[in-house]
Formats: sequence, structure tokens, C-alpha cells
Amino acid sequence: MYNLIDISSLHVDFHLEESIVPAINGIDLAVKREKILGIVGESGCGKSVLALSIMGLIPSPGKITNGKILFNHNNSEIDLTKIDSNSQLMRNIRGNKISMIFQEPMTSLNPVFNIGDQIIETIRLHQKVNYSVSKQRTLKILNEVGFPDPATRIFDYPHQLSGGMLQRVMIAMALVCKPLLLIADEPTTALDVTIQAQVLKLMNEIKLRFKTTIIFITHDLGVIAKMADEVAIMYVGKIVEHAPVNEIFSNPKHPYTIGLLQSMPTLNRQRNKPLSTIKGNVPNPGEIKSGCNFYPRCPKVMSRCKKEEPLLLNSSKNQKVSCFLYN
Amino acid sequence: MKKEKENILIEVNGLKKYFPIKKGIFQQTVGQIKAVDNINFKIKFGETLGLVGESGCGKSTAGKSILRLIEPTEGNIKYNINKSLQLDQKFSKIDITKLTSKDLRKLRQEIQYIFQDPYSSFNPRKNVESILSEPFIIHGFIHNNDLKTKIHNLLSDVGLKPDHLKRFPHEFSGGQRQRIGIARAIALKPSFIVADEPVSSLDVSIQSQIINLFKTLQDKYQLTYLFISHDLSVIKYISDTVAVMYLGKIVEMANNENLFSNPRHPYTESLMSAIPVPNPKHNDDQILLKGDVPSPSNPPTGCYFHPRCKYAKEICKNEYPPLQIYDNNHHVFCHFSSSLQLRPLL
Repeated sequence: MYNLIDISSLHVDFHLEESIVPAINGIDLAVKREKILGIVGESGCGKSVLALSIMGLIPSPGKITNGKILFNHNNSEIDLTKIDSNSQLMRNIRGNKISMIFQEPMTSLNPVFNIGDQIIETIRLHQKVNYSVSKQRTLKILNEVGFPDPATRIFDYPHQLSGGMLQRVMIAMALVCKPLLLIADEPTTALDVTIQAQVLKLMNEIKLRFKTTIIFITHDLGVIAKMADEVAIMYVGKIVEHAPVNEIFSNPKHPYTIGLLQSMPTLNRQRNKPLSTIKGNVPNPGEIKSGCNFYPRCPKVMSRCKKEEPLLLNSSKNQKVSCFLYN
Repeated sequence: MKKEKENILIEVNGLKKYFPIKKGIFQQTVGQIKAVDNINFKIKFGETLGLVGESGCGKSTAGKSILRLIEPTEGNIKYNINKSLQLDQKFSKIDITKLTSKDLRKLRQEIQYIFQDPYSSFNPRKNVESILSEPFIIHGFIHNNDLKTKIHNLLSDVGLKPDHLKRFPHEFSGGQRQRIGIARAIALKPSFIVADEPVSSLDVSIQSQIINLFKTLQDKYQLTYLFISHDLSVIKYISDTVAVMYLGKIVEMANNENLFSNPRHPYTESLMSAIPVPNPKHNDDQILLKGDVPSPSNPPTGCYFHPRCKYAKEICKNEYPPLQIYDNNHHVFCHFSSSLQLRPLL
């Protein structure tokens, strides 16, 4: 089984007036077909920029300066970085073959159009079908994502719906053209836990039913444990560890992954012991000039870490880690 | 029995906050949003009460009403004062809801609030030094020569450096801003702090630093917290007593251990089960709640939770359940709390 997406040495820079901010600084990542790849990282680590670069939606002044994003489809490879983001080819892929769910359903939908028309628009942009057929498909997909009573509520406006229902609309809109890849960028962060549980269950069902490949971006390790087959941990524009989900939780290798797992106030943690922490703050991209990005916060820092940059290498058969402790 | 009473710092009785819904050109009141609807709790000196619930359940409104940042509609808040603040009201146990605005201002030395988003709660034009000197100036400590030392002590208490003093809020990261917010709150050595979602906008690695800071400060200055959060795992870690809110009402309240090992309200059970456990091998038969949280302007009849509750029977649709008290002061509002066998935390 070959990979659906192959990213190699991807660099994305934001050219500001005073400086160049390297938001993504050399990422190699393979997305396996029909699996859920979880991408975990703290705010500002570049996980959303990574998603947007696959979609060809990097906002100005950001630019892909190096690297490839190969999209393997119908036995041919398309390099998404080489296509103009406004071209007809990209428009055919975006929303049709690759679609995305955003973090805040409230702000991602157009407030002056009703939800039914917004989904119908997606269908009619990509497929040559008339209005009534696309309305039928809209009703069907809304039903499939568990939207209550779609027949009467299809023409509701976004402000009439709750956050959980809006996220179902977003998921329906992303799935209506049966995409090969679904990118979900923090899809449950804005939702309450009981609603989050509903949406996560729905996404797991979707993966099985539609055979969709999913890239699931989140900062919540609990959600990752529940959803992902493989996990990539990001830190300041790079992937520091990439392994199957069981490996990440039972045998984390990178000091950052270990620190993240230990600092969570999980429900079975003892109350009288202080939580372990990662000292210091997340640096800005480009702030650390040489060596490993994590060395100022790392408990196991060595002199080598300050000078050389570690590469993401295999530490075992299916676990990759970017740390001098292991290679 | 009497001794136990003396240890209580704050006692909230029948607190209500209703917001009117106004409609039409004459702005007639057509209904009420019962944001906080008759809640009762006590917090002992030096302890932490965790208030947990989903968004819109009224937990922030409850916190703000206690400090009268929002004027409560009904109820009283007894506060046990042990400092001389020269208030007009001459009792050791004062009722916050009856204080004059002058007294209320003096009481702010005793009770402080920490906001969810530290960035929007600072004046962006003021540097850290003036943010932190402001409480001292407002409360008349301006002639205090040791203001500088006090501010330096504050900074070291919350883990900031003296060279941060001249910086402005936008120059800090989220975690550092929350440290400034905490420093401002503890500046006048209050006894009671309401912390409203203080860690929910922070990253995991920073969140644990701030939670630890809350605990260290509590031990150092014998602080009492009302800690508001939607995150049950944070609440479990920090609280002595936990109160679960749903649609403006407290549905269950017990000490930390009891609540998690022996939940008695179906909502608590489903809330605990909905939290994703960071362990991929975790056995997964979650209790999924149907539907959304109803609107507080139009709550369901009977028990507010019955449309989403899998144990609901006929009586739940008609009557709001009475309070039932079990061992160790375990308060529950559920008709079937004595017979239900609910799943504890795994």
C-alpha cells in the first residue's frame, strides 16, 4: 500500500518586513492511506501551516520555499507545491479530493447564507449535477453526520445552530464530495467535552465508512490517543518524533514527547505531587539559531545539541525520532 | 460542630442571577435567562472548590456574582473576614451582597479575581511595573517606601525576573501573562481568589507550570480558591471539593475523592466518561450524551438533565429533584441517586 501524501523536506517561510520567519523548517512526512495521522504540537509550532500548505492555502506573506508535497492519486503523482493555488487543477483537488475542517465552525461558515446552500454550492462546484440532485445529496450527507432533522433544518442559518451542530455541518461539507484526504485542524477544540465525544465518534465512523484518510491536528494528547493510528509530534516547525500511537504513549523517545506526556494533569494523577513541567516557554520560530530547537528546555541536553541539528531518523523499525540520544 | 463552622471562609446561599430578555420597541421583559439559579456552597479556609461544567452553564457568572462584578439577583454571600479593613459594616462575618460600594472596594484587598484571557485583562499601554503597582496605589499604599521591594517579591513569587518590569503585556507569552495576572491578584495578600478558567488558554507544557504555581502560592499564603474550569482533569488535580454545574444549577457536590470514586449524578458520570484518556489501549465504552446543552432561557421541565439522561423516568420530566445528602457531605440533585449504580472514574 503506497502513501497518499508524501511530504519531503518542506520549508515554509513567512517574509515579514524585518525578518523571515521559518514556520516550517524541513518536514518529511508520509500519510498512509485509510489511516488517521495525528499531528500534535503546541500553539505556534506550525501544525496549521502544514495543513494549509497541503491545501495550497498558505496566507500571504507565507511561501513554500523548498520541498515537495506529492499527492498520489489514480496511479499518478502530483506535486502540490508546483501547482498555482488559483489554477483549475488545484480547484479540482481542493474541496473535492482533499478537504478540510477548521477549528472554529462559528467563523468558518458564511453567516449570510444558509447551511444548505453552502453545502449545495460545494457539490455544484465540483460535480455536474443539478440543484435538486445536489439538495438530495446534501440531505443524505447531513443525515449521515447525525444532523438532527435535516429536512426541516437544511435552510437554517449558522447563527441558529449550536457549536456541535455547526461542526457537523462542516464535516458534512468536507465529506460531500467523498474526498480521499480529510484534514481536520483542531476540529473539537472549540467544543464542550460531551459534544467533543460525539464528534470524535462520528469521525471514527466516517473513516470506516468512507475509507477516508484523515490528518487530525490537535494539541490534546487524550484526543490523539482515541483517534490516531500514527502520531507525529511537532515542535517549532519540525517533526521531532513520528511513531504508531501505541509506541508514542508506551515508549516515547524524544524528551519533548516525554515532557508533554508527563505534564498532563490526567485523571489518575496523584494530587499531592506537583505536576512535572517542561521548563521555559515555546520559542518563536527562528529564535534558536543553531542546534536542536528544544535544547534550552531539554532536561537531557548535551553540548552537541547546541551546535548540531539532529535529523529525524529511525530509532526502531517504525519509530522515528530526531534526537542525538538515539542516533 | 461549632469549630467546623468557624473554619468556613465563604458561604454562598441561594445565589441567583437572572438576565432579563427584552424585546420590542418598548423593551419589555419577555423572559429570563436563569444563568445562576439558586446555588449553595461553602468553602473552608485554605481549601479549593472546583466548579466544573460545560460552556454556558453559568460557572463564570457564579464567580463574578460572588465578587459583585455582576450584581446578583438574589441570595446572600457570607464572608468571614479576619483582617481589619475598617469597613462601615461592623461584623466579622459580612454579607457581600449588602456591602456599600465603598466597603466593597475595600473588600477587594481580600478577594481577587483571575481572568481566563490574561491578555485582554491588562491595559496594553501599561508596563508590568505599573500594572503591579496599581493595586497598591488604589488601596492607599502609595507612600510605602518599600513598594519596589514588594513588587520584586511578587515577581519572584510568580517566577518572573526583575528585567521583565519594563516590558508591556504584548511582549510576553501566554503563560507569562497569566503569571502577571496572578501576581496582580496576590499583590495585596488576599485570602480568597476566584480563578476563572486560568489555564484553559495555555499549552499543555505551560498549563502544568501554572497549576503548580497555584498550588505553591496556596501553601505559601494560605489562599482559598474558587477554581472554575471546564476541564475535569485540571479540577481533579487542584480541588478539595468539586461542584458540578449544569444549566445554572449545581447538580452534584462532594469532596474530590468521593465525587470521582462514587459519582451519584448521571451528568457527572457522563462528563467523566467523555474525557479522552491519553492512553490508546484504554477500554473504550464511552457514555455518549445525546443532543446539546439546552438553552438556559428555556430549560426543560422537571430535571434539567432529563432529555439527555439515559436513566430518566417519568418523574424526571415533571419534578426538579430535591437535594439529597449522603455520607461525607455528598450533595446530589437526582431522583434516583440512591438506587443508581454509576460508573466511577476508571
